[in-house]
Amino acid sequence: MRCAQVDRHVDRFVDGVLNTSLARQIEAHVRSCARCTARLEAVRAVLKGFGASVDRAPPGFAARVMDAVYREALAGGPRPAGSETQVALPTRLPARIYRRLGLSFVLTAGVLAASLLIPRVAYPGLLGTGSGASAFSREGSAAVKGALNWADSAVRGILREQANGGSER
Amino acid sequence: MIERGTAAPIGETIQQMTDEQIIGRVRGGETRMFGELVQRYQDPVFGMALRFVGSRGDAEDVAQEVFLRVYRGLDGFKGDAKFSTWLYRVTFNLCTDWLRRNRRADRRAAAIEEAAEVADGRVNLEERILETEQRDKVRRALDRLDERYRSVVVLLYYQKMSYEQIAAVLQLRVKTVETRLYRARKMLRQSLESGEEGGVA
Repeated sequence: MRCAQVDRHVDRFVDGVLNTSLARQIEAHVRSCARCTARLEAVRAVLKGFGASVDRAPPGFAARVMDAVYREALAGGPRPAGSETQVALPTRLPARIYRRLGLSFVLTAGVLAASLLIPRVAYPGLLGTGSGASAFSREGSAAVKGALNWADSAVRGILREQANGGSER
Repeated sequence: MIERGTAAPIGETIQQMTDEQIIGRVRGGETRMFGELVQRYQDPVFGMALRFVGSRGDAEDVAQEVFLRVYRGLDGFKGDAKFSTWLYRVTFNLCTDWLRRNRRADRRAAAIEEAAEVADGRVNLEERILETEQRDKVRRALDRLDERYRSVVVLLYYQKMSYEQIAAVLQLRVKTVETRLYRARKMLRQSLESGEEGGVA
């Protein structure tokens, strides 16, 4: 091998990507050639300048990234809801859970409002005077009547107790 | 034993899952699994951004944007390349975008903060100083290189990528990568030699 060939291959030799036979030839040549020894050292010196230091992401970086990811997922990000497989839960709940909590809250509120409003509108006599049961005896199924009867008497009982307690003072 | 599809078998930890398995879970709606990918790649992505943009603060911004982009683009990831290759390509693209927007007279890499590399006493101090000097010289020389040549050198020596990986990330042919590396190293050497002469004189 000649010096010109060493020059051509020395980088790849140092990178360790040269095929074995060429690498051997270079080694052999360098052993007997001061010029190429110096050359090889120069190439290695440049490499040394790149250092072996590993750059590490700053502490908390992954958590900050995941905060941004969750924010995006909550804002209706592109992730489709699908597989429900669960493994050990890390620090945060998936965005899906938060969305469901919100939805169930809205639904609960709706049902509660309906259950308070509908009896007042459909059975105005329910909270009026009188025995209560007779005011709506002609309408609705037996089950609804039963339930409303029970709710009515319970509410009346509480109201009466409070009224008595208050007036006797 | 029943096949469990994408679900990890009992006893297999998240750490043992492949990138592709994790992506499957994230696509299935398990957003938090994406955190494992961030854990795995935060150092190389941050390191690469640091080498390109120069300051740790800017590098963190770029790296965070990389992971957000990747998360958004996960559905479009076909799997014809390795996840890491795709991730590094996004990183490289965002770094070049950043450089284009923030092109300044004072170049980046020479300003890289080295707080983490303060001599720890276990290494021969003199050797350490020589090493640091050499490192600074190389970095300054690297700064003077054209972007095309800088990128291959950064990926090879700082990110420890193979020629094939570099080609995949930069979407070049391996032959082109080799040519650029050859020229880059030649320029680096010339730059270092002339720099040293100038320093001594």
